[in-house]
Amino acid sequence: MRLLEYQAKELMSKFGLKVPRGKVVSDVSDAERFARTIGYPVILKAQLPIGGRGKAGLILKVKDDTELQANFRRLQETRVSGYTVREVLVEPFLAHDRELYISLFENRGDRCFTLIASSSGGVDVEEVKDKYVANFGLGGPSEEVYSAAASYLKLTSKERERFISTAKKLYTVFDSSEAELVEVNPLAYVSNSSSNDFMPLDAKIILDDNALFRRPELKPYLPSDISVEEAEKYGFNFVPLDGDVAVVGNGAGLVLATLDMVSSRGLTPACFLDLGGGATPERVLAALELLSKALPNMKALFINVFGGITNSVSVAEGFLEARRRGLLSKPFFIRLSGAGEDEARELLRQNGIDSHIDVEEALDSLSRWGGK
Amino acid sequence: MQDSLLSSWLSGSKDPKGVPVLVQGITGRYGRLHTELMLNYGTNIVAGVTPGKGGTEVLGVPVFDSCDEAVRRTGAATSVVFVPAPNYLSAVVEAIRAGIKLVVGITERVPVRDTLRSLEEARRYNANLIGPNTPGIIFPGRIKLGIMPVQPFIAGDTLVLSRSGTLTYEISNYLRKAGIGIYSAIGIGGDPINSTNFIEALEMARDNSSINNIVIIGEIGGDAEERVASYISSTGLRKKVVAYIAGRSAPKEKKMGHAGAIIMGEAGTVESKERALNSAGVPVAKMPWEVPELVRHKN
Repeated sequence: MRLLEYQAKELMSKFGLKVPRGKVVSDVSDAERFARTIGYPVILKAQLPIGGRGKAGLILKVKDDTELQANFRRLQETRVSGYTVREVLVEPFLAHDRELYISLFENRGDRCFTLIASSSGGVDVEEVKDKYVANFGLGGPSEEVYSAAASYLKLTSKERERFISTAKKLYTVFDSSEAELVEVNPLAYVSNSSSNDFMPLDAKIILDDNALFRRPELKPYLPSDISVEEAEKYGFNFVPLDGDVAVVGNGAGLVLATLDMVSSRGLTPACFLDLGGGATPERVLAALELLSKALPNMKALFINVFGGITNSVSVAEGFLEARRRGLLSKPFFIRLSGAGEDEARELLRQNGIDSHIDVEEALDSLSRWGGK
Repeated sequence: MQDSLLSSWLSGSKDPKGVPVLVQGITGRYGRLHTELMLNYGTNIVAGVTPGKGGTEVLGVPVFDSCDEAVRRTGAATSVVFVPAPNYLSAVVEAIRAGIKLVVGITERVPVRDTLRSLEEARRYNANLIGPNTPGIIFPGRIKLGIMPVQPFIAGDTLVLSRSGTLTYEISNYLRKAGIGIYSAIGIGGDPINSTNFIEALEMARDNSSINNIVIIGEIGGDAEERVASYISSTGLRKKVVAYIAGRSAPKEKKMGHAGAIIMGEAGTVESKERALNSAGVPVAKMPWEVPELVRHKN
């Protein structure tokens, strides 16, 4: 789960990091009031869980009320990657001399944690060759790592001490919240009357969803997307997408492959929905109910089930029940293979529904519907 | 280092058939069901462990309160873990300390830090750990340690290594229809960090002359497939290797079901994985049903 920038900064400040004095607002008059309190110029930052906001024009510096109003409205009208901007973070514009990059993350390939520090703050760190990289285990980085990072960055002596202290606090955030990633880019050295320290001008935190059961203090940060929440209740994996063909199956890998299959026929998936293992008729019904609520733009439904622990008959029964309840008003295409396939297909056939054992055949039917 | 249990199976020096197996979480709905299915396949399940249920039986299999007792009384060498995620770490550690040499972690939704801790423990005791979030391991006709349906898997000369359960079934089924059998299929797990990864499994199997083909089933996210490519380029592998990677059409920065399946920036895309594999001489199927043809095709 990716936190919004203001949530990430809030979490960091709980662990003793200094962060810019910002306020998250959804209303232009609140934005204006706050901007006057802290004094112009201010930065308006759309709060979306995506990268590249600067390039997408979602981070703007404004110098007075007039500019703030025009830009605030524009931000609120923007739609990016399927998200609308609900909240905007208003922060003071902080003059600073130095920008750094620092991140701590789970290193999948080396199966450890990694710290990266670079003096190229504000740019895409993947492109940067000049960076300090250290791997470490569950015990956290050693003192040497922090001090080697500081030396690598060629900091002045007063920056050095502040940097090491900041990096240690970031590690505490990473460790205590069981994050997959804690990234600050840029980390700026702000030196003025109120501060002489490193501050995150932007902040990104991705939490390990699987660890949330033992991190109740992070519950307030959970997203409040109703459809995703409802999916969670049944243990479905549900990802709404931009297209119009709902894709449902059992097993994450198979559903992912099914998205590719549907896309290869020139159609666009409306969602990824993994029923998980051992789908009962009730679960299938719940899934179809969820889709009818969460995807008003859905034009067709493609179901791809390879039975193993999941029995095809259960899927067919859930499907028929959904039809009885009027949840299947759109064209649907079903592939049922593996455990119980013959019985399931016979059950559907008796109820006037065609299904396929072969996924390519099912795709052909879908393509004919889509006219491709 | 001494050969591990899994490497002796994959290298062909020991037959997995008949190895005594322990099931952790055997009294749960899921554990009981799959114990039955594994028994039906001929897996030699000798013990179950559920704290507090010692002295009972499940399907004729004795249940013990601890792994230690189960191992002492039955000689179990392998464990299949069905306990809920919050208990995963302690279950794995208990099994390894009791002397279990191969642990198959079926459990889903395990926190990454618990995976790392359990892996540290496995290394300390020279035990193999697979998963978590894996459908398990099957050596067709010999042993099944996991939850996979058995129909797609016929015995043969192909090693299937996969990040996804159902895709393993789907592709193995296409292989079966094409008359290509499986030496072993191993789900390494759909999580960001796998206790046993593609390269370790390849390393164990590389000198086994009974394995002629290797199918890598990957997906978006991470760089496991890229690492396979550089492993093959730098060490050579006298076997036919082909791959399929799911997620060509997936959007960036969204987790697609598996915790490990997410594209971040330009990293973890199918294109990047495909490019790396192609340059190592590994053809990549665009669709699952193309895999058998690629396996058959001689270089």
